[in-house]
Amino acid sequence: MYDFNEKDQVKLSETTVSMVGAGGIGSPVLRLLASLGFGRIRIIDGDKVELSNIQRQNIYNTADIGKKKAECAAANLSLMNPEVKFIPIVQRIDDKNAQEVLKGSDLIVDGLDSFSARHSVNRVSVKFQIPYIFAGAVEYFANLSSFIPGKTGCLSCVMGAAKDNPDSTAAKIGVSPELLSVVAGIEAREALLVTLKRKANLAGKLMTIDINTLSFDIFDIARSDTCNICGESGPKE
Amino acid sequence: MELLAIVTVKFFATVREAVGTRSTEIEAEDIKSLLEKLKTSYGKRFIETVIDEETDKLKRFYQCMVNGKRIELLDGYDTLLQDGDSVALFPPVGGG
Repeated sequence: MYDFNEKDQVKLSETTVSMVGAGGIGSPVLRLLASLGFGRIRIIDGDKVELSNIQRQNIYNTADIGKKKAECAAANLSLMNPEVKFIPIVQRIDDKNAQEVLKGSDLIVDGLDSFSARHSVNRVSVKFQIPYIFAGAVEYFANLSSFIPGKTGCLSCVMGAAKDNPDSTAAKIGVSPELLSVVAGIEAREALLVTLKRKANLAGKLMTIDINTLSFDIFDIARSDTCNICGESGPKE
Repeated sequence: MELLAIVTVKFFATVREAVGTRSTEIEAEDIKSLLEKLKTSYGKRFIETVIDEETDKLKRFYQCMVNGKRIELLDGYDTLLQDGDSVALFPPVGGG
């Protein structure tokens, strides 16, 4: 690529990425992070592979059913790129373990399936100043943003205390596999840009996608001075 | 008589499906009156999708932003609108 040189590749190889969630979004993102050559990839997921996952979670095979996702993902991706160090962490992220699991990461990439877990991740992102590439998807819709501590707002500025809508889960209304690959491509691109200290396209922006009508929209989002996570009134050390 | 602000309202995801358009321009003084006008313009499907019958406000899983800021960070439903403001209505998507 005209704007990607050996030095950039070395930078990626020296980077530790935490992929939180190795499901619908996480699977295609992990493939891209591994093929891009990020050096260390923590794969954080507490679930086991189920038959119903295979249709969209494309790093698993039917032979993986019943096994732990984080471990299967690490094993399968190692076959693709043995130069990458995969670190499987079989835990469902929450307020109790988020700090321990994410500390030391250079970047957090979102493949989670709940806002409650995302709020835990966001607090750690802000506390340790770790950039956080956010994405959520259900049915034909997705939303994405890149939160860069100190430069942009955080998840809480944009989503507030957003809660999970039990009527709007992938289990209940499904999620389009094609959408997930599109989301994954955008997240991986943002991960690369952030790592190389270039301008992330979704810093200070919220992107929404409707794959059913092939609609992509981006609008500006603002940082909140009164945010209870990253604002002046937020938690202090 | 004071002129009302003309703002652009952008709809996303299920809200867009309910109203059948990406955006519209509307005259309104504040968010409360803007929602009332949207209810009148787009009718039953918009109301069923977005509005909580009991509170007559947005359902808890929907968000409204003015120029990229959630209305909860402004003056809520009393947030006054200015000419040229951009209002976004969308459901945060949390699956994955």
